[in-house]
Amino acid sequence: MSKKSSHPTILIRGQEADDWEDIAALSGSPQVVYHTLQMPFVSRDVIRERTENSAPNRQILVAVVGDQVVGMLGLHIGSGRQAHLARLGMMVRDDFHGQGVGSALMEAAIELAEKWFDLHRIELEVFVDNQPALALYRKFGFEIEGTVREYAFRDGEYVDSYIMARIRSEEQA
Amino acid sequence: MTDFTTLTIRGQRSDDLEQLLALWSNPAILLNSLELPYMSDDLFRDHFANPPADMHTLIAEAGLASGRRRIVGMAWLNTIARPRRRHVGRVGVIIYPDYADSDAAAPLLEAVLDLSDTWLGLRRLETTVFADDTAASALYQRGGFEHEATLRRYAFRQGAWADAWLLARLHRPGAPSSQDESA
Repeated sequence: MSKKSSHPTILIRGQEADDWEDIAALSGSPQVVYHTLQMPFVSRDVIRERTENSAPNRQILVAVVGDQVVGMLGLHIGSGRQAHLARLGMMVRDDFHGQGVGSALMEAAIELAEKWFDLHRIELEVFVDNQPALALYRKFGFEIEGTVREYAFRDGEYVDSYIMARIRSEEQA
Repeated sequence: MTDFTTLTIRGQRSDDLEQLLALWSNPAILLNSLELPYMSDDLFRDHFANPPADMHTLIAEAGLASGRRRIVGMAWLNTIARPRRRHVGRVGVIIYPDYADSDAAAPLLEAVLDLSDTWLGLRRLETTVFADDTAASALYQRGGFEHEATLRRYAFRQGAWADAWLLARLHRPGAPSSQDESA
């Protein structure tokens, strides 16, 4: 066996209806709730419904390790005068942080967005203190465009976020 | 053209539809919005007859010297349903260019701010304007909005991608009144 990184093998694929139980565990894991806009105590019925009836303008990728979905990433593609952009949201289950899951999802999402959907702007919001996520987004070419004050409520207080965007470089266009 | 004797800010009425469709068909308003031209009458009718529950619409109606009344602008405030962002409202104001410099735009925005501060208790109001739409950004800035971000290639306009500004105004609701303080 060759000496490789200790990262597990990660498969990226589209979300399927059967993923809902894994997604319930993923989106309810404490660090995910803390760093996203998820709520604690969400009914599994709600997650199931959401997973089975995904909106057509939403592309959802999941990261599978072994036989479990441990990460997901959604692209919400704009329409009309914003048909060239997508809003991105992602989450990685707490016990799989730091294992390349986020990078694998992001790499696939950027390729999908730019090489297949012909998008020129991908935007996202991230809490200002979420250092690992900020590092990931920077690594993939996202730049901070500004600070959204009191963006969301979290664990008893209002927290600022950065709005970040990746603009497709002209050479690729 | 910009002369008016009275200005009424009121809720939307079902017989406003024709005038609102005309307002939204104004080229300058369309240009600086995210809407598309050739709006369908039916879609427009449907949208305005069935506004989402979290949408508040304000109509600015001018009484002209001739005695006629005319809708010169409208504003809206959308609250956000996501539980952790329920303190946030999204705001928009549109007004006929003829009236942009008149005393119609500021009272319209003031009415939105009053609705938010006095009735809804929102902490954060936000809006986006095209980066070169100086009339709009000046209006919001006079209302206490501050520039938070420049969004690159935010929307397509006149054949090219245009940047936008994210503007926001923070407010602390629930500050005790002077009566409470003396208690």
